[in-house]
Amino acid sequence: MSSIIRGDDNWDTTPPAYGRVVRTAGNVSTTSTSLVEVTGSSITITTGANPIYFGACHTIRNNTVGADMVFNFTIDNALQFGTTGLIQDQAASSQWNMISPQGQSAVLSAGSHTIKEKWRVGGGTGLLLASTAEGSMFFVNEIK
Amino acid sequence: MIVTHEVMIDCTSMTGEECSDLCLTALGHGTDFNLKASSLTDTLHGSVSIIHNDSPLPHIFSIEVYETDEAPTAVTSHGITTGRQSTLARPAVMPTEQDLINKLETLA
Repeated sequence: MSSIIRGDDNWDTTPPAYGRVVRTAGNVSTTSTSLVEVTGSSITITTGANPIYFGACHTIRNNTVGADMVFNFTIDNALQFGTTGLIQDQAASSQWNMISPQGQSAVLSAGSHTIKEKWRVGGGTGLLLASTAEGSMFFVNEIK
Repeated sequence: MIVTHEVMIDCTSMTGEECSDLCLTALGHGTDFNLKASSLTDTLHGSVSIIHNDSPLPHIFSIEVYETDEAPTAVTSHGITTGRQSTLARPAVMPTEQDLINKLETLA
């Protein structure tokens, strides 16, 4: 007599949601001293009741020594790193800075969520490289 | 007011900051229409964000002009000042969206 052993029928077989924005078509600049979207850096994913991991990798500089470059993220318009955000100070003229701002959310409600990367300068012009030689990436992963 | 517009510009012979400054000049950047802070405590009337796409793709502009005044949000804690130190102000003469687009088109 044969027997069949059944496993748990409740396995979550849905792969984790993810999204990314890879820019290589041209650099991005801003003169905004209030947080604005890093143009085009918006990802909408549909998740389960799980946290997400989000981050970005950039090469940046400000053409004014001493001026801040600030990065932050929003999840459904809620800032994730306080009202200011993560600060990079331009220490020397023309110096390029590699930055990788990143974070993890608390458990989100199941459904659609929009994650955006934002930035601003303290003064001068902020420049973010995004070319075929120096790419730029923004990404979001559901953790499950 | 936020104006988004695309213009074909070849900026391969200049830095991104130089291209940005060129665009600011075309938009009338100055004391009465200040789009870039030259000091941390400047009063600003707007800002310009640009995707400097390489040809044959156009540059993509996002121009924000402040319609209401906003005081600085800077705070000092443990001797460190963070937050926005600039003041945002509505320009005395509010440009129209078409004004800004026409000025950008002079760069083409």
